[in-house]
Amino acid sequence: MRKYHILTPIIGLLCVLLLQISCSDPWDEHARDNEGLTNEPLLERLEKEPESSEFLKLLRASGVDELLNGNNAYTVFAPENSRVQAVASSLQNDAEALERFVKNHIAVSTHRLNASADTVRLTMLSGKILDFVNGEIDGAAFTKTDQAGADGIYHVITEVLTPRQSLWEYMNAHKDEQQNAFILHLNDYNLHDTAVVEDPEDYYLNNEFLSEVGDVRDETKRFTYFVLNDGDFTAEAQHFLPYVNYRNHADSSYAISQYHILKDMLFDQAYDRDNLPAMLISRSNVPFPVDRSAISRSVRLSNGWIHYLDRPTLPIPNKLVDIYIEGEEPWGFSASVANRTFHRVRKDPFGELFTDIMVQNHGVSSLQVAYQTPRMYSTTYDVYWRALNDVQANVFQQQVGIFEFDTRPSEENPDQEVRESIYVFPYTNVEQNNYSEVYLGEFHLADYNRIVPILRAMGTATHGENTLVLDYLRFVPKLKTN
Amino acid sequence: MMKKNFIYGLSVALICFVGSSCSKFLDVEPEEVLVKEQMYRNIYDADAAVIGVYGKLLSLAEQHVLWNELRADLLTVTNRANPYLQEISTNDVGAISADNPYVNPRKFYEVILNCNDVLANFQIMREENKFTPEEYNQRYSDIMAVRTWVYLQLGIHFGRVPYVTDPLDDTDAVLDRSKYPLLEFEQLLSQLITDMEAIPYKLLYASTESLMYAVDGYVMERFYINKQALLGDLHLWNNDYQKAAEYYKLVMTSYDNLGNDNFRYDIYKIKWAEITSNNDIAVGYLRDREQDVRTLINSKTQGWRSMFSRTQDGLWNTEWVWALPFNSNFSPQNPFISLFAANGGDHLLKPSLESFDLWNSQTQRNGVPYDARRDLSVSMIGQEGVVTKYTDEFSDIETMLPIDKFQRNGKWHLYRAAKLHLRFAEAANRDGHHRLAVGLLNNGVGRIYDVPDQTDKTDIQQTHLPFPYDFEARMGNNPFFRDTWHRNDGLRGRARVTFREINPTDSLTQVENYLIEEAALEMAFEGSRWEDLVRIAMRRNDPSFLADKIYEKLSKEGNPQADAVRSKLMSRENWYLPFTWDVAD
Repeated sequence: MRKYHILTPIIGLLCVLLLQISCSDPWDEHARDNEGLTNEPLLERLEKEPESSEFLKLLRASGVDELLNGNNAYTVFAPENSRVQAVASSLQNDAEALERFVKNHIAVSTHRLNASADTVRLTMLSGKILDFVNGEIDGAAFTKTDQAGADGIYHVITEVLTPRQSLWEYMNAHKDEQQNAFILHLNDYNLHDTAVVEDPEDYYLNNEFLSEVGDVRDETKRFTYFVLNDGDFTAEAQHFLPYVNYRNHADSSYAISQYHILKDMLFDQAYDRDNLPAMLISRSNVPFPVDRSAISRSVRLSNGWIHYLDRPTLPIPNKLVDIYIEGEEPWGFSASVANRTFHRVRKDPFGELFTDIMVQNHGVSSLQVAYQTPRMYSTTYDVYWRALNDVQANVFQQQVGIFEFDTRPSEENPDQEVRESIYVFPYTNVEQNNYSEVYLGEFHLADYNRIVPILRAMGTATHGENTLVLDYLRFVPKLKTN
Repeated sequence: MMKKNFIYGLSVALICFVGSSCSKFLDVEPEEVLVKEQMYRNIYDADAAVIGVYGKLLSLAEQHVLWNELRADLLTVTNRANPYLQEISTNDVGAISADNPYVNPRKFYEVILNCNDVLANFQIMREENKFTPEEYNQRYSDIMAVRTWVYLQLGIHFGRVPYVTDPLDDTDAVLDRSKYPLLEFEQLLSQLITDMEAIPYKLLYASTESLMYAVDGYVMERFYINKQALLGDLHLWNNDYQKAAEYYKLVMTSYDNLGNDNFRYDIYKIKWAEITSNNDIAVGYLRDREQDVRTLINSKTQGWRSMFSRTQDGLWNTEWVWALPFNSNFSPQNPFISLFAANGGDHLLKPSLESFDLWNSQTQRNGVPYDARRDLSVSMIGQEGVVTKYTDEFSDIETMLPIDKFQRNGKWHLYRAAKLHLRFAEAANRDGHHRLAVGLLNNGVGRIYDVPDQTDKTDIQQTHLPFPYDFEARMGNNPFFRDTWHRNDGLRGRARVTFREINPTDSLTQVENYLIEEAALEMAFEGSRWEDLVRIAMRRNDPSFLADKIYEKLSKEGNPQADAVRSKLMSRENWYLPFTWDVAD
């Protein structure tokens, strides 16, 4: 006997079908979300736009229109016809300039009008970055906004967006000015004879201005830069020459002096003339008083501003910045005392935290901790330390010696390279719980060079007597009077 | 026969047709689930019911921490937090959205009703002699304690709540005011004390009980609520200091006779640091390099930080009184990773600036001008802090990246020795024993009752007080003593911070302030800050104790509501969250 009727599975199938139709289809719902958007390509939409016909001509002429092939979404900022006509003739015979010009009006991806006060920094196809803020792009207003196509969006704007030079491009275009010429000279000239990398193709590594002061090629950064006229630049470099005596070599020293004039002329952030603050801190950390009356003209760049000065405004004392050497950043030790070297955190009486170094109970007589400095001006220095003796019950002594950075063969044994001392300060008490700076004395540095300060413990292995402690050393360069 | 089958088939088709709405079509009673009648047949069913209650209790972890920490001053929201979390952080109870899911107490009542059901069935089982009086007493008391704990939390955060002891099937029936009127907090508290004092069994489960067998690698001993600690808390809320101290003391000494000498010396004693090996849960540095901040013991296996992530070993057992585990293999999922972790989580909550200021105003005994517990509780991503206490089992300490993003294990840290000591000290201080309280806070009982240059310790290093204030901490070599409390190091001793100077003229208030501040430094983000602040504010009848602290948090982060919230919190009415939920259809 059959157990089930033939109809049972059929009825079951029916049930399953019924189940399926009773739910809505999310794919259909998803498709419906896109209704109402135009499906025309961006180029076709631009062709129908009467106000962009002149720009469209340039777009076609430059060949950039081939980019708008639907493979990627773009935003086009099309200037009004009258504006484009005004500049079209100047671009006619320069294909490269034309392409740059057109690309400066197009950005990857779709960007709707930004009417808020929060700046959107838009990278155009030209590589330049324009500020899109308060309903304006790079200062140009909009007459028609958010015109969508299948592969992008366009706006009609009231000004052309002519691409500006970056600071680096400007320097290269104005080689006749001595200050710029010197910077470009650094592309293949080494300021110091210790250059490690020799790659003539790599400006960044070769050019001390780009690598040490600021990479002014960078479109994503913003700079303010001052330029002296040729006479002032030469005079300033001559004036500063006594501070940069490099191996008694006149030409090298003069080049270094020029470098030290212009390294203090570059600043972060773009300030136009009217918004310059009274005092700027340069990339090289020098306080630079701004005298607006000395600015004869200003040039706007894609990544900042150049201001031309008709007289020098930076006095030498401002350039003589204190140099701090942090105790907890040693360069080397005369013996391995890692287990007895403590990096400590303390609070000074002003409530500021600081980190120092303490080497204690190490059992080494005359232990030395070496430090290194950046290149220092050839002048006299006052030297201070801050050294906190707060965990011992006794006062101990330590001393600082200043040594040459460059080694030379020893007099006793010519095969051995040694560092000659420049000046050695006497052993000085580290009093208990003294958070103040202690004046150690002064020394004279004849050469513009790096130095090696060495902190030395007492000549005993007794715990507590040969302790070393240092928060920082401060070197205060003095003005040369003669 | 054929005809019958046909009719049968047709009726199936009709049923399909009726049941063909999208959802619930496949809702059938699966075979793995017990229906009510099948439960509560024997001791194993009873054990399953107990574990079931704890499983349900786990679902309260997120709200418990949000209520007790985000409402208070040490924890705040990041800019990734949703507006509901921001409402809780600002803590203007009048401005909390009606649909804010985090303030909804419904889940708490689900646990309570679950407890009620289990308790009622335990009674039936007892009457039907399905388990022994000993088995019944232990399980009944445990579930009663869980229910009391949940009620205490509700009382603290809602002020007035319905007290329901019936096993209801419908959670929403709790809202029936005619049947379940709202109890004032004071009434609720005395009811809870009556309930708990009446339970027949106040110790941990006997070690022979089936509920103490290890489950999935978890030692079950600290899985269950500590009834004596809860009783201590209830009496402390009730300002019955002697009683509170008695119960706390019983917990502190509960292991004294359960093992070797180390049980007696170490468990719940806030033991000193092991300075040579660093195998401890104290703040420490490498030996003889204590001056070097780089040698701070910042590890998951050694030192203070390790208590939050180490396996349940001997050291873990010296600290934790109650902790519930989250495991990726079991439901519910760990809610803390999403709240706190910066990688693998959503980093919705972060330490407040106020919490940093508290830590930064401490000095370690090696001269370091901040509390090391700051760096052992919080990591930094740029300028923003990340609470690490809940994520140390999940993330790497250095990189802060998940070790395995699918292993989301962690713990709900509910009670530990530090809390026990601070609350005992709070009770002792109020009961006139300032010196003992300061000893437990500062450098240990032995040292505060010591005479340093006296070698014969026979009559010193002890309190000479009756229970519960009897502490013997002698450690002498001639004559030789090693008393039960000789390893006690005090909270600040163990944390390596300088000791509090006590002004003798107003030591009561000053010591109490210090104890509450120490709880912030030691147990930040662990879910007891708000109740500490409320308890003291109520005891002193001084709402500013609470209001000023919330103000400090809000004003330091530039919240424009800071002033308004302070003046609202000056009236007790505004401490309480709105007690309501939407009744589901």
